[in-house]
Amino acid sequence: MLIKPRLEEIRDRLLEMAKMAEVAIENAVKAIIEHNPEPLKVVEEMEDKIDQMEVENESLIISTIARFQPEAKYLRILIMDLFVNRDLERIGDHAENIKEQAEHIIKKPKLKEYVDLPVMTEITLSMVRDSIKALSDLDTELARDVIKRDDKVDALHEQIIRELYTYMVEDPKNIKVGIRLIVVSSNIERVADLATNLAEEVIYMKEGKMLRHQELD
Amino acid sequence: MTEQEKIRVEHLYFWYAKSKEPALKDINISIYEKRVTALIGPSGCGKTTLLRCFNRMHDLYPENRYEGKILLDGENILDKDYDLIKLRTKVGMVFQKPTPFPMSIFDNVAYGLKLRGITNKEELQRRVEKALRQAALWEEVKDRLNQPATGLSGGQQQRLVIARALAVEPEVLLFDEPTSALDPISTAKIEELVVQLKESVTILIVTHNMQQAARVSDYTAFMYMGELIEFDKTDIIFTSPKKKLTEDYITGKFG
Repeated sequence: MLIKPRLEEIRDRLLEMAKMAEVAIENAVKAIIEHNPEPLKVVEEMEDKIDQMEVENESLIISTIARFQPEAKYLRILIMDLFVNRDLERIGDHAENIKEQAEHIIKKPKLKEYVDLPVMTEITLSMVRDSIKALSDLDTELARDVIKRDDKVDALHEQIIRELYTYMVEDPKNIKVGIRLIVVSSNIERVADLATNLAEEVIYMKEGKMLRHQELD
Repeated sequence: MTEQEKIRVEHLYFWYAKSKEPALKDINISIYEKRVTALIGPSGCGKTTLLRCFNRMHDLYPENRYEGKILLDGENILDKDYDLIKLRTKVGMVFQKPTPFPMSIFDNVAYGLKLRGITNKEELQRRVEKALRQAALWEEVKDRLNQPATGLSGGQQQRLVIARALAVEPEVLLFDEPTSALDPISTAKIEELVVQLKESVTILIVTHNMQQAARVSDYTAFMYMGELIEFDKTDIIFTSPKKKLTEDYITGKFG
C-alpha cells in the first residue's frame, strides 16, 4: 500500500509536534511556579516551530487525501490527523497565552505559594502525554482514561477561581495578579479540553465512534 | 529535495505521417532524475505520442516528423546522428499489454543482455536474478526459470517484461498504461514496483487512470489537444492546480 509510508510520516510529525506542545505548556507554567522568566524562552521557541509544523502538516494531509482517495480506516485516520494537527497547534497557542500572563505575574511579588496550579498542570500534562501515547499506539483504553481525567481539571479550575477570589476580596492590591492567575488557569483548563478532543479523535480513528458532546459509557 | 534534470524537452513538435496538424505542439518540460513523472490527459491529448518520442519509437514510420529538441543528459536524442541502439539501451519501455517473448522466463530476461554480447553464463545468471528481484518477481519464478514465460499470469508477465527492461540497466524507463490490462492486485504490485524503481531509474508513466498518477508520481504533466497545459509537483496538481483546465479535468468536469 503506497499510502502507508505517508500515514507513518504524518503520524511521526504529529507526535513530534505533540512533544513540543507538551514542553511549551510545561515551561510556561514552570516560569510562574518558580517565579523565573528563564523557562519562557523555551515556550517561544516551541511556539514558532509548532506554527510552522501545523501549516506543513496540513498540506501533507490534504495532498495525501487528494492523491490516495482513502476510504474507511484510512479516511478516518487522515481526517482525524487534520483535527489532531489543529488541536496541537491550539495547545501551543495556550502555552503562548500562559507565557504572556507569566511575564506580568513574575514581575510582581508572589501572591501565594501555588498548590492547586501545579496539580492541575500535572494532570493536564498527563492528559496531553497519554492522548499522544494513545494516538501513537491507537490505544482506545488509554484514550478513555484521558477523557475521564478532564473532570478533575475542571474541578481544580473552579477551586482556583474560588481561592483567588478570596485573596482579591481581602486586598484589592491582589486583583492585578489574581486576574492574571485566573487567565492562566483558564488556559490550562482549555488544554485539558483539547487533550480530551485528541483522545476522542483516537477513538474515532480506531473504532469509528464519535464521542464528542457525550458522556462516556 | 534537490532535483537533477535528466531530460529536457525544448519546443518539441511532432507530426504523424501525412498529417498537417501537429500531434504535439511546442512542448517544454523537464524530467527529473530518479523521480516518477506522470503524463495525464484525455484520450488523444498526445500523452502516449510524447512518451514515444523519448525512445524515438515513432521512427518506425519514416514519414513521422519531429521538430525541437529532447536533451537526454544534455545530448539531443532527435539528432539524426544519435545512436538509436544507445538510446534504447538507456531508455527502456514497458507497454500496456505484457509482451513476453515466446521463450523461457530466463531467456526473456537474458535476451537484451545476449544482444549486447554477454555470453558468460554466470554473469547472465547473476544479472537475470538481479533484474527479477528488482521487478519483485524472483520469489515467484526462481524454481521455474526454464518454463515458458507465456505460462505466467498477466501481472507476472508484466513484471517479467519490466525485469527484461531492467536487465540492461536503463537510466530511464517509459511505462505506457502498464496496468490497464491487469486486475487490482497486480495493479497495486506494479504501482509499488514503480515507486521502488525510482531509486535507480528515472520513470515516465502514461496513464488514463488519474488516481494512479496521483499515487505513484512525484511530478504530473497534464496534456490537452497536443499541448502541455500544466506541469508541477503531483501534490500541487492534485490539490491546487493553477490552470482551470487542469482543475476541470481532475474534478471530472470535462467535455
